[in-house]
Amino acid sequence: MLLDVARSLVNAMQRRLLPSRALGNSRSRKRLRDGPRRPVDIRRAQHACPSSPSSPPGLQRRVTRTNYSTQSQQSAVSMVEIAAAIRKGNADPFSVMQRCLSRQQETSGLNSFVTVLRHAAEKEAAVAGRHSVMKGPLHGIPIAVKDNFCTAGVRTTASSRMLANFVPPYSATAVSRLEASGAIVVGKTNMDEFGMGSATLFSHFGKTINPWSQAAEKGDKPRLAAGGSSGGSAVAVATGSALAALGSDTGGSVRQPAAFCGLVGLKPTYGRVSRHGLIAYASSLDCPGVLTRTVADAALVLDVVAGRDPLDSTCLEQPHRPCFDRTMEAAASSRAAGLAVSLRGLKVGIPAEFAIQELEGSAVTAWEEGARLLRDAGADVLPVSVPSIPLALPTYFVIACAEASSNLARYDGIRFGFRGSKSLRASRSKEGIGSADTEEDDQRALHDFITASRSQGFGDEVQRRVISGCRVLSAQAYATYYEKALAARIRLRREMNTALSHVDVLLTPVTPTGPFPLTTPAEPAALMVNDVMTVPASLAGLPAIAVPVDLAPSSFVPGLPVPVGLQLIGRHLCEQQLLIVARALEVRCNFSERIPDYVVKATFT
Amino acid sequence: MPGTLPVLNKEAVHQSLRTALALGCQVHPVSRFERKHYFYCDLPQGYQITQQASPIATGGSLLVEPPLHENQRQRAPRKRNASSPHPGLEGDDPEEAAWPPFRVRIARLQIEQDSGKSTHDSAGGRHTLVDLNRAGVALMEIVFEPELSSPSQAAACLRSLQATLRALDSCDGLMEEGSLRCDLNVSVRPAPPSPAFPPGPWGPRVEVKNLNSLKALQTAAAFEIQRQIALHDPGDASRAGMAGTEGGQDLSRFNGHFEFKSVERETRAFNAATGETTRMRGKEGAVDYRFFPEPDLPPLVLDMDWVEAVRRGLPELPQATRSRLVEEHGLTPAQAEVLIGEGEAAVGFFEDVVRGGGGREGRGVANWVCNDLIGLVKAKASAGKGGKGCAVVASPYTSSPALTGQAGASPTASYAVHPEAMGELIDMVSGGEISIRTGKEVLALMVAGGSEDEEGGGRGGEKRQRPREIVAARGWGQVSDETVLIGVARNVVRDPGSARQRRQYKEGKEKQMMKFFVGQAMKETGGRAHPGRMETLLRVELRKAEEEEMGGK
Repeated sequence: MLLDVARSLVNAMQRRLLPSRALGNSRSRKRLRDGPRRPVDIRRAQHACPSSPSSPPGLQRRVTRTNYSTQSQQSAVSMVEIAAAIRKGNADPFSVMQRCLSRQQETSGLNSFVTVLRHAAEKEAAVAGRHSVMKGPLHGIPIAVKDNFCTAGVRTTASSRMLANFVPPYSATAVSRLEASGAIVVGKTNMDEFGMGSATLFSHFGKTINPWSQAAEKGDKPRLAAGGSSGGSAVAVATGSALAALGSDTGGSVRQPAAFCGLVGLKPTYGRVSRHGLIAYASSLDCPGVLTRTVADAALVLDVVAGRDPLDSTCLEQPHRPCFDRTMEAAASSRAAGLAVSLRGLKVGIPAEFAIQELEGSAVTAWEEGARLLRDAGADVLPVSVPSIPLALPTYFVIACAEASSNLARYDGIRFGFRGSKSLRASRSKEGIGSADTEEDDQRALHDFITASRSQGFGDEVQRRVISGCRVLSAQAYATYYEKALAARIRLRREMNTALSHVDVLLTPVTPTGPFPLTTPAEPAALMVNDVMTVPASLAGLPAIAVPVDLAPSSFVPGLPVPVGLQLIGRHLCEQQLLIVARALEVRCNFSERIPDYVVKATFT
Repeated sequence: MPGTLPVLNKEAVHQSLRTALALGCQVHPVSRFERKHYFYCDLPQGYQITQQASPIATGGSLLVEPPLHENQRQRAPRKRNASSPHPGLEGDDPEEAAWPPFRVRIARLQIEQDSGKSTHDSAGGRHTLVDLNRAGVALMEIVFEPELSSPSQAAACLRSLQATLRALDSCDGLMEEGSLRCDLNVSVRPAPPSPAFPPGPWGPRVEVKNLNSLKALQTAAAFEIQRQIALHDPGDASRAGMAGTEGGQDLSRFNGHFEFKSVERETRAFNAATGETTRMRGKEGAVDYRFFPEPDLPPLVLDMDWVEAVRRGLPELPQATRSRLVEEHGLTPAQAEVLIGEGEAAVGFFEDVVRGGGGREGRGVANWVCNDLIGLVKAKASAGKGGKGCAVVASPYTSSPALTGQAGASPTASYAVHPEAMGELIDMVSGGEISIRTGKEVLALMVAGGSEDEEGGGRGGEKRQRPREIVAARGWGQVSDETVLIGVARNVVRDPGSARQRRQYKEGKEKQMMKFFVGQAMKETGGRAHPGRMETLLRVELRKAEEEEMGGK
């Protein structure tokens, strides 16, 4: 079974990820492994949408804008603005908290939280309101934390039955830093179990629903996925239950739900934010990230959580250069100030290989429009090539599963967490006392006990990935799968860095499609294809950000507008520059003013 | 626990590096960590972080020397101590053929994570207790090449390693406490009919886990060799010394169709109570450890300047110390071994004493240190243990700040007896100021004095008396006043009670009778007369008495 998954993925990659529309420079015409590319001049590509068999006909972004741009302006209030208001005494942390908690209650039907810390959060907010001394830049800001970050004294489940009763005695570095800067944790958000999924579908605590699906007529329309695995965090911010959220991004788990819910999702450079206290999925890919309404919000939260940590040996030593600096503050202060920031001299790369067959028309349109807007801001837009992109997904799958199988080995039901119903004693007595070979019997009993705990404690998707991971690391398969994946990863990283030596940032779509209906797919690999745009930055350890740029009719639910995001990938540790470009894109798209009221206001109980 | 990450222990790297350098290993500027997976209740993460593919050091070797036999060790102070400072020597097989010293090559030295400690079937019930206190702590694993060919070589190898680690202070070497542990691999092979033929193929390798003493290692190796030979041919089992551990001696008899049909590649446990090994798991139970690079720890990159600095700071190794002690200071191998066994500080103390005064003879100083001082200090330490919880003292220095050593000595090491004082005492004896017997009593007082000072806390050392002061205060100095000595000699000789001895002396039993008279004189002076001088005076007095007697007649 596991091999089938791996094989089908590899095949899928080779079959499906052929670039259908090349956005390459005609001079650097190259052939990909499996087929020819049609050269398209990037300058033309920015203006005209090349017809594509997969894009629905007659998609007009101008139409979508006029349709959905008349909504309330309330959603435009950003975390940075509220933080400033609290600092100036114009807002009270307690009332800010109450507003968030009531939003949480009103939207509890979306199932974004596993644990809500109503009383603790209210109490802390009241204390924060009484203090005249600001603890830090996030003083009194309600923040949601994905349930795979350890929080001292607060149940931390990673949405798994295995950890449904686990209360950590310590807090993750990222959480401690948020709290030290004055932020107040409102609750722990739902996710795919251990981060394994792209829809917040595989959770012991139920699915999380995208607030954008609300416009669908009740009953007959399918609910849309919030994305995953940080789906709960995304929905918490999208509904206003928190002003920002901590997520974790292994292969796109922050960027994809951000795009699905119309938010900014930032995955910093690998090692920029400590993983200490983050329940590991795939250690070499896991990266704490932030989900916010605006780019400036993300910059501010990043500044709080980033920086070296002696408790994480993979955390980078270089000091963090603040991203919410004067430039960002000025650019975020108003629309006019944002538009005034010039990107002159900046080079934006369009990697041709991201133009895969599955890419929806709306995503292509948004991509082209994004390129145009950045050019308007003064940037040069150039085609670049990252030939190994078709290998990214299978590579990611092999490495992530391998590391997951190892990281999840500690859940054996012996010391903490879920304990299988088959007790050690029972399986021991079954073997019979006093048999000749007790040592081996004891081993077997222990093995049975661990097997029972893991079979009952882990969900199907986790078991699939753990078994796949064990397989790719086994003596028979190591050279065929794991070693090849490592080699492919090195190649991809080199290519990405080469591309980024010619340009400052890469611009790509975040996902091939918009939010899909929340149904369990028949083919487990199908969901993974959703990560195809986001895994390259994860494998290369580069900073990347998803920025909401547009609304488009859902291709799954006719007539329903859904957000579309774009991804910017920056150079190693160049978050500052990445965020400036993201802000330039954000201000020109003016997305926040086009969010329908029902996403941020309506109740969903 | 979920969310926790490993952090490399810098001191573990430092100590591994020191050990690797001391063993002559090649230290690798870049080494990597990997995970080794298996499920067990004492392995909390489900994997062990280790260095399978690129360890911190490879190569190197360890000098293995045959154990000293009892007759070479006659004057070792172990008779004085309930617990022998050199365990494991008792297990040596006297039957086993002697072998010359040799170097065993080291395959690798790696840093890895310790597991927890499982105690099976304790409290009579079928329970397993797991102690996770040491789980995750860094340890150093040293793998030897298969070049040991007998149980005694294996034990000698481990003993040598233990001494080296102790000299480096990178491990206290306490096997009973688990700070030094040992796994054994044994295989045997058929011997060729004559040395002219190549030996047969090695049989399957059998691993014996967790041997926690030298004796256990030696016993397990011997048992395993016999067991494997017996599996091959039950008739051979009784013939000792035919097979080997690791690299192994050869089976004495070549069997034309030799096949290790019944020796299985397996992992076994050692039962210390029975001295036997029992099966843990076989080849089919072998685990696929699924090694892969540890993603939580970046590669270990060593600054080669630091490596060189560490190399320069290494202490002398026991084998080098031994040859220096024997060749430079003229010590017997047994004396050298006792000193080395007591640690670097004891050797330093000895050398301080020898250097402290002109012409102090090494072997004589070693006699005082090995035979008297160490015993006294240990006796005091064990008395202290029972009483007031005095610091354990296992060598002539104590960890208390009783008396700081002279310049150059480690500031933390202070001596129970100052080397200068020890030297003074030895000089007094050799110079004839006091007798050997008095010297021993003075030394006992010197050592005992330390304890009062320690209890006084801190700078009591100044109060401690020098040997000359003790001798003066107690009037123990040898009587050198000739008139007094002549008086003693006269009294002894003319004592009416010794008329019979005088007669016998005259009749030719000179030697025996002189001993008697010297003894009497010593009794008279409380042992403070110089025996040689006394003998001369006695001879004069005896002659006088004889003459007088003859004259009287």
